[in-house]
Amino acid sequence: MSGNSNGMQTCPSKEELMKKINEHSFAVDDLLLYLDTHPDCEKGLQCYRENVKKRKEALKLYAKNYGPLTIDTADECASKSWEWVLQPWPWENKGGCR
Amino acid sequence: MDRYAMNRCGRQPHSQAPVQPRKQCAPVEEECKKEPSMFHGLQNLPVAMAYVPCQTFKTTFELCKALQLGTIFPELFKPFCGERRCCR
Repeated sequence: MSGNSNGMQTCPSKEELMKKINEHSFAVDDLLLYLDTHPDCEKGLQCYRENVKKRKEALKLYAKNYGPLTIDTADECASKSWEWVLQPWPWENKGGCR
Repeated sequence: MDRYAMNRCGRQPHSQAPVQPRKQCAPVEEECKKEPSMFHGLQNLPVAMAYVPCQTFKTTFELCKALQLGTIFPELFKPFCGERRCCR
C-alpha cells in the first residue's frame, strides 16, 4: 500500500500510521503505570511527554488522511460532513477489529 | 526448545500480516535469551523476607519491540520460560 499525499505533506500508509499510534499508545500506558509509583521521576515524565506528543501528532495525521479514530480529532479533516459517523464500526473488517 | 513449550515468549512472526515497509523488530526469542538469571544473588539475602526492589528509569525498548514484549522497560521483561521448574 503506497503512502497517500495530501497537499504538501506526504503521509505514511494507513497501516503504518496505525502501527505507530498503537506503539505510542502502549508506551504512554506503560509510562503511566511507572509514573503512578514514581511521580517525581523527571526522565519518566520527559519520556511520557514525548510519547504523548508523538501519539497526538500521529492521531491528527491519521484523522486528516484516513478519518478520525478519537473524538478529539473528529474534525481534523475539516470536511463538510461529520466524518466521525462515516467511519467503519470497530467490528467491521475495515474497522479496528480483525 | 522444550523449555519454551509451556509458554512461548511472544508470537511467531506475522506471516499473514500486511507488508510493513518499516524496519522489522528483532525476533522476540532473541530477547528471551538475553534475560539474565533473576535468581542470581538470592543466596545472600535473609530467608523468610519478601523484597520488591524499586525500579529506576533506565533505557526503554524500541517501541515496536515493546509492543511485542508487553513492556517498554527491559528490566520488567520477565518471560516465563519454564526455568527452575520441578516435579511435585
